[in-house]
Amino acid sequence: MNKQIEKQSLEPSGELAAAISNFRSAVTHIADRETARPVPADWLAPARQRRRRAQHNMILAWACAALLCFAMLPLSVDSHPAPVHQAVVPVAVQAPESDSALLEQVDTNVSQSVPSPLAPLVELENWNATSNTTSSDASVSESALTQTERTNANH
Amino acid sequence: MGHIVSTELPPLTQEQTVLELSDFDEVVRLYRPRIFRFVMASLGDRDVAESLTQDCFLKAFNARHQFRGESSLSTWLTRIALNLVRDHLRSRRIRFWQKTRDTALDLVDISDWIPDTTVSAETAYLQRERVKEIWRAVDELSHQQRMVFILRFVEEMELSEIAEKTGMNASTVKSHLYRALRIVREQAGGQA
Repeated sequence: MNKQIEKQSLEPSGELAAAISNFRSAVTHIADRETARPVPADWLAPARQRRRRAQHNMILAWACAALLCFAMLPLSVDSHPAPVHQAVVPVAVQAPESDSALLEQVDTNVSQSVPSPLAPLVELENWNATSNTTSSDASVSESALTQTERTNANH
Repeated sequence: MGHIVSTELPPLTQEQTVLELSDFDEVVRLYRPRIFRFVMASLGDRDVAESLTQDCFLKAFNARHQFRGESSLSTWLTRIALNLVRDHLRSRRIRFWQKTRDTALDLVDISDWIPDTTVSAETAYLQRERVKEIWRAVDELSHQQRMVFILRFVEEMELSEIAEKTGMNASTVKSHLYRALRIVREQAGGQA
């Protein structure tokens, strides 16, 4: 039963079958008319020419592709360092910004006023500085005196 | 489809086939109309059909020493033609801007065909119209559906033979044929 249904679905019937049959005879009629002339001796010559042309075109296409590859080679070599530059530049630009910001921060921290419990230490520091200066002055005057005494003794 | 007269050539033995191939002019004379018909029915273009028929026989001629006679000469030539049609359709799809249907079979060609001299002019006209509808419907089919349809109803091959020539399995051939017939039935007026 299934086979019969299958056969029916694969075999047209009625008008469609007649139409397909006429289609076949029309195609056969045209084909017979076109191939009725005897085959000339050089009948395959156009096919040979087409084949040769296709081969030439293929060679030409491969040659063009190879040339294009060679032409692209220097460009691809030059283009290699570019990403490295791009990677370095942002870091170099960012570094001064962060350094200057850091220095400013340090400056502000250093320039802060000394807290009051440490004020005596600051005074001590100042005093040390002044005493060093006076002691050096005294040593200079002592050396001047000894030199004067020596000159007097010579006279 | 019982009233269609089969034009299939009688099968040849392997020895006959190889001998036949040695006389290539005879091969061309015998098989050219069938290959041309198949290509023309597949593409609907006389000039392309002529070119592809030439290409088919040139390929066969160049490869004649490789032919071992394992399949029939008809099968071998049909396979070459099938491949050429497929390649042509592929390249036509690529060259979509190129108008390739200049020499496509126009209505005059089909109007030229007289179905049967015994029928009335009105019936002949209706039959021609139906043939045009079938032709348009076939043109709408996919490549594989069209191949199977033409091999079955123009070349009158059995399903197993179509499977052998196209390299498909039998169930794939059936499925393509079923779909092709459904489309043709719908496109050609939904009759039958």
